[in-house]
Amino acid sequence: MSVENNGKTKTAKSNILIALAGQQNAGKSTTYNMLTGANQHVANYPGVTVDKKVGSYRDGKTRYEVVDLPGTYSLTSFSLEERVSRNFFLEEKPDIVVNVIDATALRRSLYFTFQVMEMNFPITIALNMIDVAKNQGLSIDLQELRTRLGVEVVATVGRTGKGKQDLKTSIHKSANQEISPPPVLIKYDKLEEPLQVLEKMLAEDSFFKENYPLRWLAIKLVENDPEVYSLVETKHFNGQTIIKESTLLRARFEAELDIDTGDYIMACRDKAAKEIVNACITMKDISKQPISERIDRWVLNRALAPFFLLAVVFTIYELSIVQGYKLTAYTWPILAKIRDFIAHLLPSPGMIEDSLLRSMGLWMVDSANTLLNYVPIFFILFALIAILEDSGYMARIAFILDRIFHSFGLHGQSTLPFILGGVFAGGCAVPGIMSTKSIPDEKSRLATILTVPFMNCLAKIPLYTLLINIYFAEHKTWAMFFISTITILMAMIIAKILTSTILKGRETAPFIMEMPNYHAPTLFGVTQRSIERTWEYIKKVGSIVVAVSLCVFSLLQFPGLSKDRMDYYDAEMNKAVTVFYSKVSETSYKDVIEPIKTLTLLNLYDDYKRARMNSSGKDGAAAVEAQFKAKTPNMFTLLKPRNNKEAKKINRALRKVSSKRKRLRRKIKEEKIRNSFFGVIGRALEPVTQLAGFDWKVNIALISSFAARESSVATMGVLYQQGADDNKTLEQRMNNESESSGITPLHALAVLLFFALYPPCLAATIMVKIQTGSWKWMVFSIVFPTTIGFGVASTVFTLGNALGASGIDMMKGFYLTTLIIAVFIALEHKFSSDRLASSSVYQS
Amino acid sequence: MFNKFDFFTGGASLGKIKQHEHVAQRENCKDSQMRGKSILDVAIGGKAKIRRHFSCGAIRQRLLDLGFIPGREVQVIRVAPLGCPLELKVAGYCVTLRRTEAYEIEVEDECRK
Repeated sequence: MSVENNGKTKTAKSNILIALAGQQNAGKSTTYNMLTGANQHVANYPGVTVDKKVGSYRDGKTRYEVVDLPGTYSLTSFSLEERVSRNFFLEEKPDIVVNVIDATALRRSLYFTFQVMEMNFPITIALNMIDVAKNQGLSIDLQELRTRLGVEVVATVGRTGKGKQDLKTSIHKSANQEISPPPVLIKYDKLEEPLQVLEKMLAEDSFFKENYPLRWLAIKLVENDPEVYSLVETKHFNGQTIIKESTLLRARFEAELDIDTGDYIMACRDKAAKEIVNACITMKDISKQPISERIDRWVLNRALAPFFLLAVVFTIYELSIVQGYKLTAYTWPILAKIRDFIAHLLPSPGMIEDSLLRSMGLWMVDSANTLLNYVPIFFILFALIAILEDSGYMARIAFILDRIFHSFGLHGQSTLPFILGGVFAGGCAVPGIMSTKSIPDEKSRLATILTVPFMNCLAKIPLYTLLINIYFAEHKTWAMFFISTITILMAMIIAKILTSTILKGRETAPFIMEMPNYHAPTLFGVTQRSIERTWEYIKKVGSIVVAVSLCVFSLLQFPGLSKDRMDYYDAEMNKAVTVFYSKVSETSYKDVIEPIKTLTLLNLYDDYKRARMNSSGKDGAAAVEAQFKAKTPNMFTLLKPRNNKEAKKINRALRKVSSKRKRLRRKIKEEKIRNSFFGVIGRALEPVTQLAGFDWKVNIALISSFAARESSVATMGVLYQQGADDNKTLEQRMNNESESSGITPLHALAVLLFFALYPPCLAATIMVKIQTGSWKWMVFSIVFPTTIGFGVASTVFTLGNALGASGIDMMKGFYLTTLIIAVFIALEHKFSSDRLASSSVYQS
Repeated sequence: MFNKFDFFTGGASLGKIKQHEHVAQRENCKDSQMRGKSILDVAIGGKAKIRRHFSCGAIRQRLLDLGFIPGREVQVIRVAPLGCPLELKVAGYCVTLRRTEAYEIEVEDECRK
């Protein structure tokens, strides 16, 4: 927005920029939704990770563009949100500011209003939550408030949309200057004189006079605001002198009155606010305590609070992970159908090798499906989180746990990301990282983002259970307990390491949080938000994951097999087909089958089997049969030979040749992986990874699990496949192999530890990029955990070998060491903070 | 006396260590040698009047914004289970603070017996 748009020529404008500003918890977002409806989009402010919501609505001929500013208590330059809001005011120069105010906290909210007025913006006040105020026995004289402030005031209830039309009307009115600009409201009594002096000096520069609110600048100079200092210093032709003068005035004032100028200004604002509030608000005496306080007496009770918290966390797990997982039983068939549909569109499968287009297409569909499979879980998770946030319990969770997290350099609000990431078992780092957005402390926020991936996500569980079932079968419960609690301990310790080294210089914020009142969440709000976030997940992650899965595919697929090997496999397959033909020629079906290619029959057979497997119940099976019968009437008896002896014979032969084909395909796949770029990397890494006891198979599995955790077990399945046809489970097969190659529980422990500390999967690293806004952090989030994970794994492995300790002994030892370190850090913090805080304890 | 910050150790308070010197270590802050009681000395449920802040920068600003203005009355509502953040009531709404921040708010004498 250019400078000319500001100020005088408003009447003829067809596009009006509204800045929606207000304090946290004032109901800004609901007001925003009320104004713009569905017409909105989210972006980032340039250079920072604060969300920028922009929406618009039409009123008559005019288009109103609404920008939702981050919630701020004032307009200083201390926090990121405040700087963002302030820069928006100074640079974009909105035509009108809609100030959303919590009617129950009018006095405090007015400080902000005064500051916006000092910046010379036309204001409309949306006095929100008027219903809550009424319930608390407050009655507000709107007319009095209007005349006192000299601006439009509209009573609204954002949640129900009450006051929407009035708000739009008064926005229209004040945007068109139908009401006179507000007079200077606050007199800073004893500061007035210095302010006048500074204002006059600032006015000497005509550029300043036209572009900046001078009185506001003068106030900020006296307040010692570093950003305004540098603004004046660099842009004003007489900047140096002004700065000097302001420092002098400030020092003189403070010496004279023995009070901080900031405090003094605040006290003046408070006085003005008090007068207004006294004149406008009458309070009926309601002797009963507010409902929030009555609830909190139980929920935040020192002895009971932990139990309520545990109950809430348990409910979240139960509803989202357990029940959500059950939901996937209904959604998975839909995804499977989509896969089938796409499989039909792609070229049909070859005898022992598929065309590149087909295998690539299916690979991408499969990668996307793995992620989409979580959608029901996420949807429930997001809905529950929205309920927690709206109700006000989220802030209370932070309150209860802040002490623990603070000991490790984190923040009370890190709780939610960790819960979502799967504190004990089953979560996902992606929503976990997404939810770090609300942490106000940048240092803790980054530490949280970097440690959430250590949690046990849903996709890590299969490998854990696999390894534990094979190598720690006698100590299953302990091993599972070990893995689920060691991750949180490690995450805490690593967070402490990060915050006291790399993140040391980062901006940090104190835990000063307003405890919101309990609100009943609305169905609309909760659904809207969970749909929004789920969609964000699908969009942001889906697109990139599909793109990168392509890269992984090529790395696993190329350079492929040599011609000799392919010829060998071709010959093997031909042998099997010949056997099949010889069987067929003994029967009367000779004439029916010969003309059709074996490949078509084999594919038909596979299709039929898959369709039967995906169908459920008797009705489903019957439907599948009817469908295939209709499609290929003459072939169907071969697929399902009831009492036909000859058909049975062919069916048996068909089954044999089909399983031979599968076996060959798997062998080719294995050889391909072994020869692929990944395979080469895996084997090249063997000399190094030997320190941790990983062989090349484990290497490949771990590398490929970067794309998606699930693939670790899938890749192992491909690699450990001798005996797959004897119907042995992967566990038995790995067990056989480990006996022959000397893999011990110690090896398994090293793999477990590495896998637990291993870098976040692709989707999560992309989320790291989105949430930190920097590629550097994304790379760091990959390199750092790999180093730590490998360091820990090889230390445990080497030490275990040197000591001759068994896997379970090392497990115990490692657990104890971590626990001691964690407790030590916590106690150290406790004592040092106690010393700090108790130094002022009054002694009588 | 039951120490409100130490849930587990009961009365074995660490608060007996008296040291005023290290206040001066805090950077950028003005002379804060002369200090009386802070909010930490107010019992749960007790009220006190704010005299002044010893914090500076962003913390001071945020406290002022939230209504911790000298002269106002604050009430200590409760302490978190592990003794760290406190919940205070000021000007009709509740705000949470860590002890390190709370101890920099000086309050008037008369509220404690």
